[in-house]
Amino acid sequence: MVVLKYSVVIKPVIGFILIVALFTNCEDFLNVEPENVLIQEEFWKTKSDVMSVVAATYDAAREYTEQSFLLGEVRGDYVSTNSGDYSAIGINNISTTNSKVKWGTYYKVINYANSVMYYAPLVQQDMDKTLTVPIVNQIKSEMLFLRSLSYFYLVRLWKDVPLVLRPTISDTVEFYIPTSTEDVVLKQLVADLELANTLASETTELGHANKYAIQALLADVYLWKEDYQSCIDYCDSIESANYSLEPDTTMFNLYFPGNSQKESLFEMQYSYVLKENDWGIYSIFNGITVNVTKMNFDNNDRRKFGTKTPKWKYTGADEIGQVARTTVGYPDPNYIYYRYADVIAMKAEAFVELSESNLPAANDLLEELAIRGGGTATFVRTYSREDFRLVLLEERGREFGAEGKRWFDLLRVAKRNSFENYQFLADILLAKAKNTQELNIMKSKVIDTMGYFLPIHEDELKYNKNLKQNTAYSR
Amino acid sequence: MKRIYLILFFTTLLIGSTYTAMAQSIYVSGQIKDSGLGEPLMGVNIVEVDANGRYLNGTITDINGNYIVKVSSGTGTIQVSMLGFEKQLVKINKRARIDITLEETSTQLGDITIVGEKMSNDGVTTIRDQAVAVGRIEMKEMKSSMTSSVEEMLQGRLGNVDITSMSGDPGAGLNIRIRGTATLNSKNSPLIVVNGIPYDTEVDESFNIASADVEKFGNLIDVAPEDIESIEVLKDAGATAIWGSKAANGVLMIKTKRGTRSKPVFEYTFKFTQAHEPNLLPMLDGSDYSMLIAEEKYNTLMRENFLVDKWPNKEISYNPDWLGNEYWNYAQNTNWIKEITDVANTQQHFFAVKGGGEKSAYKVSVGYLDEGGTTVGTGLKKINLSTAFDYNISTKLKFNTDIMYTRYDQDNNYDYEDNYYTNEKSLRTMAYRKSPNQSVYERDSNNVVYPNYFTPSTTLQGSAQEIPNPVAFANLAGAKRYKDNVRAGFTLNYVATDKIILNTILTLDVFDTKMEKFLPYKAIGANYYSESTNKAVNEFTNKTSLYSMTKIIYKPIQSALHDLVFLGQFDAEGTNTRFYKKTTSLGFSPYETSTVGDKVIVSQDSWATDFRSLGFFANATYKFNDKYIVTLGAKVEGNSKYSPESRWGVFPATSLAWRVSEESFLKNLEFINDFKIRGSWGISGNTPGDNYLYFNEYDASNSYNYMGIPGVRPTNMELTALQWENIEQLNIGFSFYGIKNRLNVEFDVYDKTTHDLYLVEWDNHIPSQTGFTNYATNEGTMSNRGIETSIDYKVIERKDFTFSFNFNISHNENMVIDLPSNFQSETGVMTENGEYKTKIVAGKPMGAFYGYNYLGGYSDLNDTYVKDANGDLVYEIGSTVPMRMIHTENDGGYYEFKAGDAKYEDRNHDGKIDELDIIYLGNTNPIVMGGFGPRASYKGFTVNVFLYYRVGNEIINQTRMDTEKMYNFDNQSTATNSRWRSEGDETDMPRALFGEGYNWLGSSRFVEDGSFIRFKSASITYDFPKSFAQKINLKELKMYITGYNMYTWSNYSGQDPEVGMPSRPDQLPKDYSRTPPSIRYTLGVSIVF
Repeated sequence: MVVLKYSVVIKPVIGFILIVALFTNCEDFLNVEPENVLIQEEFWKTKSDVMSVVAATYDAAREYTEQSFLLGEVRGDYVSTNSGDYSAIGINNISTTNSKVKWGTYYKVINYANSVMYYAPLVQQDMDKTLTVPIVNQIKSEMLFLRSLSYFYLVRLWKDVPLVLRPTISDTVEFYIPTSTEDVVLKQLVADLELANTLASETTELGHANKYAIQALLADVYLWKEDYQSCIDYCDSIESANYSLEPDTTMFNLYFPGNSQKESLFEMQYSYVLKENDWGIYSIFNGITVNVTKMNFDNNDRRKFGTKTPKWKYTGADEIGQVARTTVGYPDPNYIYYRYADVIAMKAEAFVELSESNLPAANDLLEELAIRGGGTATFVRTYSREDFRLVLLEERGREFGAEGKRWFDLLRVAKRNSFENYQFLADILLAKAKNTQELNIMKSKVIDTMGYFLPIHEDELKYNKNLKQNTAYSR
Repeated sequence: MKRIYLILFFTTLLIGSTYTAMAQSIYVSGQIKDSGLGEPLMGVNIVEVDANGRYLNGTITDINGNYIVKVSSGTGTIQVSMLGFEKQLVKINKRARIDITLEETSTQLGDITIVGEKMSNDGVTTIRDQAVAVGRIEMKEMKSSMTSSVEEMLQGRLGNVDITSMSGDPGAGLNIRIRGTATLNSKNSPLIVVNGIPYDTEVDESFNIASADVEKFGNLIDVAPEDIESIEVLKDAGATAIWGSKAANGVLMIKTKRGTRSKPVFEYTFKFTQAHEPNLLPMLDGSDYSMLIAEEKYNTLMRENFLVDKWPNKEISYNPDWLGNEYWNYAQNTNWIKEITDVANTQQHFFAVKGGGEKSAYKVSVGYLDEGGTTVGTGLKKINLSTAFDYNISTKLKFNTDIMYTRYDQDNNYDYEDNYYTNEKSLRTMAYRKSPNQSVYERDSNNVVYPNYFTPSTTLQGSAQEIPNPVAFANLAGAKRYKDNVRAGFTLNYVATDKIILNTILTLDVFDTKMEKFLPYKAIGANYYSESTNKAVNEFTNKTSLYSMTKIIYKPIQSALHDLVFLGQFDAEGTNTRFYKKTTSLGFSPYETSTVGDKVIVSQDSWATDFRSLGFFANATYKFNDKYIVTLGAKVEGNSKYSPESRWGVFPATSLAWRVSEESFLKNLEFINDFKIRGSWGISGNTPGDNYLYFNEYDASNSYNYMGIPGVRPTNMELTALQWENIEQLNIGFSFYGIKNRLNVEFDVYDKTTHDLYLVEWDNHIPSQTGFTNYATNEGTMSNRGIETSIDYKVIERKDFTFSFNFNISHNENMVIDLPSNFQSETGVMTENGEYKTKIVAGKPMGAFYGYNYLGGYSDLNDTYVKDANGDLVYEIGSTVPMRMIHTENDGGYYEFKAGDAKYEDRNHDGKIDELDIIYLGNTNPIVMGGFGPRASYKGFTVNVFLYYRVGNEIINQTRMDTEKMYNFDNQSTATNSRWRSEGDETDMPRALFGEGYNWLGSSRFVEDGSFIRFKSASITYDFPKSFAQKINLKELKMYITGYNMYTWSNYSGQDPEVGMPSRPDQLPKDYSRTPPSIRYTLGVSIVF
């Protein structure tokens, strides 16, 4: 009968549809990838994929240039600004909702660097043979440098911070990481940078960190850790690689056009020609006020920039303000993280802290900077450790005016030997009070040395229950 | 997917191939006669059929009633049939000649006979046995409704189905919520199912981020209202389970009319409608306006500066000596809103043919609508074509095809849609704001009017791009939307045995939308070489969906006592959307309205997106003794929107019903016909609108380059945990039929809880040490609880006179139960004028908004002094001058209130009006809503009245804010004539103050009760007597007149309280003076022949 034939035919067919279609094809059928966007499944295949994230990591580090340089200045005694949240930090009136105490920009760089370090070896092993082991090593050294630079700012600004060493690739990673102590983070930095130093190349493309940029950062970390011999060792290593000071006649080439062949160690690059400008930072630095009277400049000191003050470093003017970037229209000053002058100053500082017997050599080093800058009249050789420390701070201030280092210099001096010199920093902060009322409030604040670091932003505390507020702000 | 369809296709082939089985030829002949007169019948169908009623061979009789037919075997059966006669089946029994006499049937031709129990729209259960919460409308009840869309027709008819229109413009979209808003960011609109085929109504998922403008997509269901037979709304989880996640927000099931066994029946309906708007807001005329502006300036600048600043300005100074002879152009009294408002006419035609024979039935219909809008420049033309064809291959196998096509041409006003565009810039808002002293048309020095629009490129109010001549803008600029929607569905139904039924549906849905916008330079008075003019936008969206569903119904036990049914279902869907958009400007000519040619390309964009889903559903229904009904089932669903780890969801559902009326203790009560208590529980899944959310994406951009090396950033992490929102719903209710089935009461209580709320990325934060600041996840709980009841009572049912009454009321209460602390959604900067605060927080309903409490104005200086809680003046330390009230500003400064300024309640008595003083002002959600109305008929006359109400929601009257703020050069309403002018004036209307002060902070001043009861429709229909109709060769003739929205009871001061609900929960219910629902009168004629 035909009827039977129907059911004989149809039943198995339907059954077949259900069984075959349902259990073999489901997952394939439901895997739909987007057409318009780049996804992880289609990325991390070639050398150029890796290089493009490396570029993006450097670019992301540009985003914290402003924060790094201004937070490195405004709490100190030389630079002030009236730009909203920075000015509040400048007068030590720091609330936990201040947008400039957010640390997200640093962690963005850390995450990108972690991603590159995670994926680059995989691409090298399985995907693209043109990505050789030496290239991967160099990339890794650069990423370790950027990650360490970010962490170094984090510990100097916030002290105890969460330590994240793995990329956030999926939501299976732990989001709610508590803070690690400054010691733990510094230990990690030393380990990372020592490794980076062994992997790094001596020459890199412009704007990328080479071996000596890594060593300069490492020296700075050691100085902060009060490990003076190691600091000196790396300063010597840089010296032996033919770095030297830009002569006095061409000193302004440091800032304009920048990238001094002799002196530059690491600069965050901007380029008008490549359309990689930053009007935002440019105008913020234009808006700062530098207290040159306090800096005690000799009138012949070219680092004073005539009547223009050191903020003109970013507009690219010489001492009489002749070559302003604004007239050329280039909003692309580089921001110098490390230059050889810094190595000299660090070495001088480490020398003296290591042993008073190094005073003559330390004086020589510092004088080198003063002579190059044209400020010999304000420089005096000193014969006690105490006196030298003060002269060093002052000379550093003149040499690196508005280069984002002043606050860290002051803090480093104050925190030495478990905040032995906290009164020194307290006095600087108290001097900012405008009236007796403010002075009284501040007096109660400066006793707590944790107050020299920034609070954790309120949002971060809200989003991560495992964080604990800096004790100076949690009262 | 492909493989599945292929297999289905082969299944069909296999079924088809069995027809070809043929044996050797045998012939049968004979004559067919009429039993009454014994005359031979011509045109009688003679068919050889097999045991399943399948046709094998056939012929028809000639003029003498003779036939000869080839049959496949001498032992078969022939079927003899003709319309109007009883069908006969005759065994051949190896005869060669068979003469047959046919009996005339008593059934009238064209009548529709409903056999058996009425089935619900799911096609499986009978209405009587439904154990779930379903609202139902039979279209017969709404015969005389004239609406252009189905949704509008449904408004207020069904419990807890909240429908609000986005605006009164023709073709404007609607917001539909069944039982409240159940999700924060996912889809909230219900699924629409037409004849068993689901339609994804959202044109595209990506749009909710880009523009969130629901209006663009117009009407959701492209079915002519006349074609609809019934609509069901499935509300609870038990009812929606089979549709899975698509139905998480409820289902609207629509069944269209189909052909029946009859001679061709023709139907034609014509309707003519005239529409006009409710009263417009009274606005200031030219001279009042000029005075107001001068006063605004004077109050701000003070006398000496007022004169120095060369005020009054020439544009409003009425100086006839104005150089350039512009005087008459600026000396008019133009009511701009009136100029762009018009009476609109609409005509509607509907034509249908239906009929059918023994084996097949057909219905073909054409609908045409030409609707005018009450705002100049708006309108809608729509054509619906629909074909339904049913063919019974045998008693066991049948197929249906449904093909629907809709063409949709919509005219809209131009909207900027770029960063210039905000709601404040809609045409009607601009018309309210435009200075009334300007002329519509150009005039010369002698006040002679020229036929050109007066469009100065800049006026006091700013550039013409900011605020053009509204009449010129409405007439010259425009946005046309074209929509083509084709839906083809193919259904195969096979009754394998009396216990097993197989059913397969295959559907293709193609949805094309095209938008063409053009802004000629004349519309905004700019030069034709200006970048913002001759701007053309072309936008295409193409959406294609393929859907298949295969059902197996197995009924192992069917007895009087036990009734067991199993249902298994497999469904698969794939939907692809493509989008392309191009914007050009600087076209050479204002007549070149397309983006072609060598114009300046402003922007180009295109994307494509895809998603797929699979579902398996199984359930069992057991009925015992017609008293107890239990259903148990589950749906397993997979969706490509989620990562492989989280893409499968299991959604169980169960329902119970107890027919109490069958119990012995009620059985004898005569007035109860059927009384059933029902309960259901279930979980349904809901998906986000966007696709590809879980992917770890990388973004390449020029702006990430470093030293010329291209940069690529990871933009998010992979979201493996992103998963289904689970909506759990418990429903308890009863259905009552009594008093000879004349009274029907339906009652439901529900508790709907959404678990694992989908929290969209931008509101949900993570610690930034991850390198990211936001991510999307599922966390949080929200609840919707409510109650709904409907009563339908046929009070009198006599031959010539019937009177019935229906009433429904429903209430829904929304509450956010729980949200993670990482979630923050808050809008509104309370230091600025015109802003209200909204926030989504646990423990509060969604849609609540906050602001200051308005207390009128400061009548004099003394009034502005700060008073403490006891009402005593507050002094500054060491001062004898009392402190004055201040408002803190964004930059840390403050504004000191002066006499005549708006006065807000200083709730904490700190002398400062700031965020600490804000209070709860209202809520978008209505407390109750519903509708009611009587229906009466006497002989041929039928009167049908329906009222619709929505009570307890608050509206922010943005239009009133815009027209009472007295803050800039905008025209204001006549209410501002009562403003504060001098010291001591006691008035609620603050002083005019140009660009200064805080007279229009978001406060209770502009919040109004949006409750209303509306005369939605009232109609009188006259059905001409059959005898009269037959005289003019018609079967039926009907005429009717209907009035819509004729009156609205409301305290709302705006044009109309039916303001479009915000499409997202964090948006405010603001009345942006969009076109309100119009008052309409319709005259209609309907004939059947």
